[in-house]
Amino acid sequence: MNEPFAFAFATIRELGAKLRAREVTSVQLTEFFLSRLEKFGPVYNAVVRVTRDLALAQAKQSDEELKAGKDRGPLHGIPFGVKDLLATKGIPTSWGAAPLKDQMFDEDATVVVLLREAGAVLCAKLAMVELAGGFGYKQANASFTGPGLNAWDKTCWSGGSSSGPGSAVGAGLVPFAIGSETWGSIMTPAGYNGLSGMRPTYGRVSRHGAMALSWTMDKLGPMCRTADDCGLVLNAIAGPDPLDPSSIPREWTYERESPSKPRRFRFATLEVDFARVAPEIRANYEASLEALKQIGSFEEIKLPEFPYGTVASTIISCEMSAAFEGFMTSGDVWELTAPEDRFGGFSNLVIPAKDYINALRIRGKIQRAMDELLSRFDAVVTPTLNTESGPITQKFAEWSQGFTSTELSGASNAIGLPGITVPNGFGARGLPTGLEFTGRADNENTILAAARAYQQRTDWHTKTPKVE
Amino acid sequence: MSSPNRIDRRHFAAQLAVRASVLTAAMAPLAATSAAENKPVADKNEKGDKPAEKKPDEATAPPELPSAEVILLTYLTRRHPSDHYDEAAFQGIFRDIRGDIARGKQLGEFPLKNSDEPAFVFAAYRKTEESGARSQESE
Repeated sequence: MNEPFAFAFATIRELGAKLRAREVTSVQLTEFFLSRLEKFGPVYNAVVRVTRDLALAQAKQSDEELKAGKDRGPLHGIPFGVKDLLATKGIPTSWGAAPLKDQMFDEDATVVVLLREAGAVLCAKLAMVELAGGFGYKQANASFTGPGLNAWDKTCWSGGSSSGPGSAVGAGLVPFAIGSETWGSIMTPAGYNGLSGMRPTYGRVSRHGAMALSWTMDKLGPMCRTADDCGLVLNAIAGPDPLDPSSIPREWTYERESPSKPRRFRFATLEVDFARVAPEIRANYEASLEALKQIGSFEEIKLPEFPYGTVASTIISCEMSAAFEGFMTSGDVWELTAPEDRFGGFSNLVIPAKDYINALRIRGKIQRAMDELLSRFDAVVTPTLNTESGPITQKFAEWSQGFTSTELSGASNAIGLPGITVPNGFGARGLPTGLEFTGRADNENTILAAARAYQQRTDWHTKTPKVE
Repeated sequence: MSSPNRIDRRHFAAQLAVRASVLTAAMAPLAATSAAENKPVADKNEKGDKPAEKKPDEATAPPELPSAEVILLTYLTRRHPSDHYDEAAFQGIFRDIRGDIARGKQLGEFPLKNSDEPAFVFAAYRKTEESGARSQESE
């Protein structure tokens, strides 16, 4: 192992090339990342459990298969981690919650099965905000593993609720991870840690075996170093699943067109509330738009008038109240880490059914209006977040400026539109900032192409933090 | 009438009135109601089925109802009793209920026709070129 630093922050394609060139074995790669997880995982509060024995067994099998000429594809032999809301047979799945830290399931989540079948090597169950943040946490210390710490500055938050995937990929503890997003839980930690993180179209990736916060809004997605890596991982985990009735009933294939045939994109922008956006975020966003003008046209649009945030939050509140009523009434809820999470779900138990149904009715209208609007564009481009990450000692309200500056985050999550964030610079503290591409339903390949084109013209995704 | 897992209603009312300053004023009617409800059945029987005699001004004044927030908080804490409710929890839940009510009002004010159905089985929507039905197409 003569270039460990390069391995730590290599892309999936780079690691795969080294594996196939016999420059390294999967067992060596796995040992390398296991040692980083064991050494630095606790430093960032990023890891719930390192799966050393399983990982080494899977890596050994990967090496044997490659030696025998059996190549399962781009993820073959590549180590990874999963947010600890994905069930793993024989390994506890905590959902980030102290009262559930020893919770066991008797089967693997579909995503875990698909990644195993793709030859990837499961190295860790990664930390997360307790119960995916559904109980209304207002500060970073909301997990039994402690506050997720940012890969670029351990005094700052890693983001949530996929906090462990954010800091673990950001700090080079795993080449990629699987996170989940109900409303912002992939985009936020990916943005704060300088990752490329993707929220697929709702139903693209099976939710079977994943903790349900909101059955109609939960999405699983890749958190990686590059948009191309996101495409590779999504290719492995996407597809219909008879165990998830909400999965889209058709296959999905990652299409990476030839760089020799560049395409022109039709981008839309929104009126951004720059009063809530840090100056550096604004400057990075405007610089990103300049870079994107080389590859596409722009038009500023307005979102149709809908109560996006109200619809999204009502749906989450009502679905989580049903999903966690037993957890709340059993008294387990009072053992959660964040004081505000202990009572934050109770009011949801008395929301009238008609409010939920009205939210679903309005959601249908939002879907049609947004689809009509977005059908004219390849992607809507926005700043991922209003600020770089802030101190773990402060409440979010003191520094986050509401996290997002447009209503697109609530809208796209409510109706299941795909999005991808890529790093686009640094803020005043020296922490990463992000640029988000949001697309029409089913258009993962289009927004991946746009994000890849952006990364071909910038080098923010190659920047790495000092890990110690 | 109480088990170890049930919060005493008198105690609950007192907690709300004494601890949660934000609720103190609003809880007065609730406390009175709660106290009345807590009277032993025998006491009620002693009064028979006759309504209590009312003073003249009470007979004409409209009843002072507790706010929707208080009613829901009362229902919630009785339906899901716990010894863990403290001032912070009561105030937090009260604020959340107030927010939920405002959210429901906003949803209720959104113009919807009788024919605007909810998507009972949710799927991401994409209009097809031909039919406009739910998409079966890929990129």
